[in-house]
Parts: sequence; C-alpha cells; structure tokens
Amino acid sequence: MTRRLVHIFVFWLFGFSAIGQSYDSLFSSPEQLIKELTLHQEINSLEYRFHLPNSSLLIDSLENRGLTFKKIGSDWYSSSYSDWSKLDSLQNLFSIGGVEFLIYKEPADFQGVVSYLETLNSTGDFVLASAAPSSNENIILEAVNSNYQPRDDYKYWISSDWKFSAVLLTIFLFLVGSIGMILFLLILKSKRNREEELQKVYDELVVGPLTTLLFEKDLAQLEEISPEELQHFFPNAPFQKPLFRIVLINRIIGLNKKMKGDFKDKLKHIYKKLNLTDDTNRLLKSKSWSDVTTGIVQVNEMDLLEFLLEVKKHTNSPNFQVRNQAGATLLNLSENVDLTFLKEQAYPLSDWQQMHYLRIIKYVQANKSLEISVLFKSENQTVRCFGIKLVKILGRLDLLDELRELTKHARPDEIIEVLKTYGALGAHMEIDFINNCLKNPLPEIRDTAIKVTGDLGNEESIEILLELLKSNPNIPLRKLILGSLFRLNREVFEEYILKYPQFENQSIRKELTDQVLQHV
Amino acid sequence: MYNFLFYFLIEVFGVIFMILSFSVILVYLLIMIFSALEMRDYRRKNRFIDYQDIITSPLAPGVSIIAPAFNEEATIVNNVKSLLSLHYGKFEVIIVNDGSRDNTLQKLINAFQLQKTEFFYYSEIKTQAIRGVYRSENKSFRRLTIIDKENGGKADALNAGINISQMEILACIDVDCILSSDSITRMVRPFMEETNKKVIAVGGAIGIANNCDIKDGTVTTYRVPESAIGRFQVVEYCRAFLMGRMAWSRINGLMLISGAFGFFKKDIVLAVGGYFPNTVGEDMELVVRMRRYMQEKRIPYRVGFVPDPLCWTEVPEDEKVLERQRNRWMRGTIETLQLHQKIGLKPRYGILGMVSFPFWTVFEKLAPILEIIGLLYTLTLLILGDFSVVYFIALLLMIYLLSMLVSTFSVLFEQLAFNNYKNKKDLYRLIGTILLEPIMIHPKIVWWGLKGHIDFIIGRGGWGKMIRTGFKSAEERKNLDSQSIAS
Repeated sequence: MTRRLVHIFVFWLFGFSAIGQSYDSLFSSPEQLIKELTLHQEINSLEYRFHLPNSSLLIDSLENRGLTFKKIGSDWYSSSYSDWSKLDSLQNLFSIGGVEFLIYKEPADFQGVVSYLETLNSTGDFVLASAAPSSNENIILEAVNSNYQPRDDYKYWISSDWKFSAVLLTIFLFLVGSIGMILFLLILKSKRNREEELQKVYDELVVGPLTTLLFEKDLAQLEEISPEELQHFFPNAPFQKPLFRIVLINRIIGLNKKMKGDFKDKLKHIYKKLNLTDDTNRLLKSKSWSDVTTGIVQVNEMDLLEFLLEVKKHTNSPNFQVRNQAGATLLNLSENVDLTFLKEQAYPLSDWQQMHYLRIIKYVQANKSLEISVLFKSENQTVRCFGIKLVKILGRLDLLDELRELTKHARPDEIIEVLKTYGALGAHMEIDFINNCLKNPLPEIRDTAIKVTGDLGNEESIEILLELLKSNPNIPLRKLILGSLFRLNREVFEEYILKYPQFENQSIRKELTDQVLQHV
Repeated sequence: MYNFLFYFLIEVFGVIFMILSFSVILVYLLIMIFSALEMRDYRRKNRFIDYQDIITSPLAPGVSIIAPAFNEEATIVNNVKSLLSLHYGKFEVIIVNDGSRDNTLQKLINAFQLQKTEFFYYSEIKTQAIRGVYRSENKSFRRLTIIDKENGGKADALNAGINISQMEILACIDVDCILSSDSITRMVRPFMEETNKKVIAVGGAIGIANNCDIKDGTVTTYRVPESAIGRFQVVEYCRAFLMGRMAWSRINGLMLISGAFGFFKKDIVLAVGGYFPNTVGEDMELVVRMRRYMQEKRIPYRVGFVPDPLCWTEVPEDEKVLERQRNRWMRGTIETLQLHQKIGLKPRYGILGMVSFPFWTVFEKLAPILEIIGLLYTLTLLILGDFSVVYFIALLLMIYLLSMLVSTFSVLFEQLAFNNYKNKKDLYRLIGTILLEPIMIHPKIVWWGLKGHIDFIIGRGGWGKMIRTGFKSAEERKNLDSQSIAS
C-alpha cells in the first residue's frame, strides 16, 4: 500500500512538474502561439510561408491575385511573410494549405519556434502582447512599448475646440466691426466739423461781394457784366470747389427768400451768370433722391423755368420727397397753374403733400386761373378728395354744380368731404343730398350729415333726426343728433326732451345750454 | 444615470449660453446698423421740411394733449401754461386731476379762472367716477379743459381724457414733462406723411433735464447730471431712444412708446378700448394692443418715431426711486408680454409676432433671469473644476466690449445728430460712465429687474386674473372693463 502510495506520489509529482513545465513554457499549443503571433507585426528573423498541395488550378487562381509560388519537390510553397498581423487574412486564402514557420529562412516546427521565442523573451527582444503591463502599473514601460505617433492635433488645439474657436472668431469680428464703426463715426464727425468750419470761411468769402453786387449794381449793370468779371468780385473764391458752390447757392437762396422786388431779380441773375445752374442741372439728373430734391428746391427758389420739363419728369417719382417738391415747383412756376400733373398722380396724395400744395395754390390763385375741376376727373381718389377740399377752403361756390355731378359716383371719403364742403359753404340748395346722407348706412357719412344738418337742415331733416332718435342710438350718436336738433329748431328739441326726459337726454340738454361751454 | 444627466445638462447650458451671447452681439450690431440708416434718412428728409405750414394749415390734424396730474400743486400751473403756449393751430389741453389730495385742482381753478360746467361725461371707455369738468370763461384759456375725477391711476386718468377729447390725434404726456414749442408740429408730421399705411402711433425721444438750464419751457443749455446714476440714465436714454427705437422704427417693429410723450390715432385707441388700467406697463400694453388690432384686421399700418429732442423729463437720482421705477418697468413688460402671449412667434402678426415679441421676451423680460442663471452656471463649473478661465475671460471681454461699444455708439450718435452736450468735460464724464456702467450699475439693474419678476410672481404691485390668461383678440380688453372696475 505504502509502495503504491509512493508510486502515485511520484506520478503526481511528475505530472505536476510536466504541467509546471508546460506553464513555464510560453505557449502550450500551436493555436495559442499563432494567436500570440498575430498580435505582433514583426518578430526578428521569424517568418512564415504556406505550402500547398499540387493543384495547378488553385495555383493559377492565386497567382492571378498577384501572389507568387515556387515548386519544391511535388509541393508548392508561397513566398515568405514577416508581418504576422496578416496571418489571419492570408490563411483564409490558403485554406487548403498549411503554415510553415521559418527561423532565419529555415523551416522550423512548433517547438523550435517556441524555443526561439523564449530565447528572445529572455533577452527582452520579445514581449508577450497579452502580458504587456497596463499604463497605471508602469507608465514608462507603456511609453517604451507604444509606437511613437506624432500628435499633430495638439499643434491646432484651438481649432480642435470648436466652441473656443467660435468665441475667438466672434470676438475678432466683433472688435473689427465695432472699432470700424466707431472709427467711421469719428471720421464722419471730424469731417463734418471740418466742413462746418470751411462753410463758415466760404460764407465769409461770399457775403461781402454779394452785398456789394446787390447794393452797388443795378440790374442793367449786372446784365452787362460777363461771368468772368462777376467772378472777380469774389477774390480768392475757390469756384471749382463743390463745397464753395454749395455755400454760395445756399447763401443766394437764403437772401432770395428774405428779399423782395429788384433784389430777387438781381440774385437770380447772379445765380445764372455764375453758372450755378450747372450744379442744379447735375443735381436734377442725380440718382440720389436727396440730390434730386435739392435740385428741385433750387429750381423752385430761383425760378429756373428752363428746368421745368426736367422737374415735371419727377412728379410721379416713387420717392415721396421728390414728387412732393416737384409738384410744389410746378404749381409755383408754371405759367398757368396746370393741375393736370396732379390729376395724373399715381401715388396717393398724403395729407402733408395736400397741405404743401394748398399753401402754394392759395398764394398763386390770386394771380393765376385755377382749374380745380380737373382734379375731379382724376382716377386717384385722394386727388379727387383734395379737389373737394380746395373747393371748401378756397370758397369756390362756382364749382358746386360739378361737385353735385361728382357725388353721383363718389366713394364714402369723397361724400364725407362733399358734406363738409356743403356745411362750410352753407350750401342750402344741396339739402336733399344731405338728407339722403342722414339715412346712409355708413356711420361716418351719417354722422357728418347730422353735423351739417344742424346748420343747413329743413323740416325733412328734423323728421329724419327724430326718426334716428327713435332707434335708441348710443350716447355719442344721441348727443350728436340732439346737438343738431338744438341748433336747427330749439322748440322741437325742447319738446323732445320733455317727451323723453331720461337722464342722458337731460344731461345732454344741460351741456348744450351751459353758458360756459357755449362761450368756449 | 443622474451623473450623466447632470453633466449632459451642464453641456447643454454651455451651448445655450454661447448661443445667447452670440445672439446678443448679433442683435445689437443689427440695431446699430438699422438705427444709423434710419437716422441718416430722417436727417436727409428733415432738410426739405418746412414746419411753418402745419401751424396754420386747415388741413393739419387736431391734437388733444392729455396729461394726468396727481398731487402736482407745486408745478401744475407753470406746466399747464407751458402746454398752452405750444406753437400749433388746432389743439386742446386736457388735464386730468386724478383724485389729488393736495391743492392741484384749486390752483388750476384760480390760475385759469375755471368754472365747473354741465359737460355730459360719457364713459366710452370705462373709468372711475368723474367729479366735474372745468372750463375757463377767459378766451385765452379756451383750449384748456380740466377733468376732476376719483383716483384710478395713470391709465384710468388717460382714459377719462380720451373720453372727452375732441381731436383726431391724442398726445398722452406726463404733466411734468417739458415740451419744446414745436413738439406738436414735429410729432404730427409722420401721421400726415404716410400714404400707403395708416400711422397709428408716433413716439418721441425723451431728454434728461437734470442739471440743464431751462428757459420758457425749453432746455437752453445741456449738462450731464452730477450723480453717476443720473449720467448712467443719460447714456441709457441715448441707447434706448436714439438707437433702439430708431432701429425698431426702421423695420416697423416698435412695441413701446414712452408714456411720457406719445401720440396716438384716436379712432384706433377707441377701437381697442383705450389704456388697460390693470397693468403698470400701460404705455407698452396699449401700443402692442393697437398693433395687434391692425394685424388682426389686416390693415397696413406703421408706428413712427421722431428722434428730435422735443420732450425733457427729470430722472430719479436716488437709488431707491430708480429701483422702484425699474421694478415697475419690469413688471409692466412681463404683464404686457403675458397679456399678449398669443402673438409670440405667430407669422400672422408679422414683425410684431416674429421679431419684436421674441426680442422683448428674451432680451428684456428674461434678461435678468438669464444673467443670474449664467452666474450660477459659472459657479457650478467652478465647483466642479470644469471651469475654463480662458473661456470665462473671453466671454466676459466680449460682453464688456459689446456694452462699451453700444453705449459709445449711442453717445456718438447723439453728438452727430444733435450735439446737445457741447462741453468736452461732459463728454468725458459720459465716457467714464460708459466704462464703469457694466461693473457699477448694471448688476444693480439686473437685481432690480429680478425683484420685478419676484414681485410679479407673488402679486406685489397688483395684477388681475386676466393678465395670466391674456387677451384672445386685441379688442377683447373692452369686454374686460366691467370686470376691471369691479375688481
């Protein structure tokens, strides 16, 4: 039993030492070896090749893929490979062949390769990939084992961080833009200051000679003076400089506005003799609306009739300022106040334009004939409305018949204007139209008619107003109707209040009879 | 999981703040460009305008100046005299004594020989009870009407004035404002010029009168205020009026007309039910509602702006007063945006819904909250150790430069357009204010704005139920009158 136990112990010991030996060996099987070898790219003097059975068909197909073979004995052998990482992919190609190891170009078996690798391992020339130390164990060893790769990324670390690049770019653009803008403003301000100073200097150069010419020369003398001689009155004046010419023009226009009679003619004469009309002409042909408007204002102020045709071209300009000034100039300068250009206005007339034209029309109508009725034929409703307003403001009773014609096809805005005109002119003869308007379903027309009725109404109007009151109107409308009734017929008004003594009616009555309110 | 979510949120916030920072820069650069273009055009047009016509023309529109007064006995008589002396042909002055507890009414009665009349007051827009309407027998004061009413607040007082106004344009002003003699003629011009669009309102620029010389109701010499807070408001007013409003006017996106000096088309004001008395931001709310009305009715319209210095007011130089003002402004903004939340990002409302409303929401209403969140975000990054000093400095620099640029630009703008502050010393002091403002004043403004939010949430300062729900349509405010009065 003891002997048997000793035998078993020896066997066990032997077995364990064999296992221990196998554990001491780097690789226990060819599969493990190949698995390890595929983790390496190259191992010093260790190569491999494939041997294939004699099959010309397979050799032909492989050679077609660019692989070379040589025949040794009856078998074919591929050329040798040193890159172990490609072993797997190559093995797929040579599926029916086997791998043959080569040490120093000589064939070797599994044990031979293992023994060779163990030798390399002992000298440190071969380290098991699976046994490579992790970085946190030994960072220096990791560095030794890592292939060196230059990290170009760090050269452009700014561009790799898109957020920071965006911030930098924005700051840069922002700085450039903002500084540029401030510089622009500063330059503009200094330029303006310089211009203002120059204008003062030029103005001083201009005022003296202009005064001399105006007070020392009469019109006939000015006509005789040649442009060159006239320029001599302005010593040291830089006529070729645009700013000087602007100052000169503005000064002449300024004086023209203030002066009267002969002086105006003299100034116009000087303006033309100094060829300042060239500047006006250039401005009229400019593409900038402000230049064109300036040119038109010059034509208007200096009565430059020769430019009227050019001005007329601008009466339908899409720019409000241009067409407004062009219209005003035509009204002011044309021989007969021809309102045709106004009739043909494509754009609506603004209240501002109407006010502007009204001032000129009021001024020129005393001396020139004014065909207001032409405006009633315009296709532009605002122009027709303006025509009606002109009848009212200028008191043109002679146009009431034409107004009556107009009302036959008039739109609500025009009807309201006509009603106001009738009211202002005291057109009693149009009471039927006014009474009809009292029944108009549009509140704006009805309310205007109610107001007008207070002054122009008749018995029929009173009946209509009482009818309107029966419909229990809201307070503002009730106030309006009772106000008209109060003015139209006090007796009927008082009767109504007695008949309907509601709080609102009594209050309205009190307001209408209040002494202070009537007074103001 | 929570860890991932936390860091994910940190990353998301980072991107949001960056987008916001860039948007701020882009928006302000655009504002600068638009305002410059608008100012250029305005000045060019002005060269050809003769304001003399409008004073006497029968075609000029009538203007009703409405000024609420509450405990103004010290200055009311002079202020009314100044209003009555404005250069314009067709205008009336309506002073609404909003239940003053001092001698405001008596001073007016004595100074202008007023008598109580039997004027039948009809509340087309509902208001607090009217005690009386006064007119003068003296023809020199024929333009003046005084309404004496129960106290109901500024909006209510303005509504009372609107109810008895006779003219087609309403000029709603603060009674203590100083108006230039040609202020009406200049403000009325946009209403008369437009042809294709109806001009529903025109805003005016407000100047700061502190430390200035005033003669015959006009500022004769400009000086910057002595206090830093006063000077800061000069810069701020330049930014708001000469830059902001000019730019918004360029794209027809104006949402605010100062309650101190604004002109409105009466028919539209009546159509939308007048001022809303339940908000402290009644001036902005009215403009938004009027615009909303025009958009809903699909009527082409415009809100104009006149940058000329025509109206001056005294600004608070005391921090407590300024704090209350800013708190009120913030609550007014929140209330208005809340009331009209339906228009936000709706193409149907055009520029108003797609540009102005989102701008006000993000850059005005939410600005203090976003700035505080930004600060908290920075602190979080600092605690996490995930804090990039380079980023922080870059962004800080960027925002500081932006603030400096915008303020400098607005002051330069003032110099180019009007050149009111002629003294170089004043200019240097303004530049000093510009440099210090982001550090010294801005944090306080943010804090006061934040307090405005808190007050709005807890209901301090008063806001009704309808503010939470908002109006379904611009005209709906009329139907809320009875509720408002009852509450």
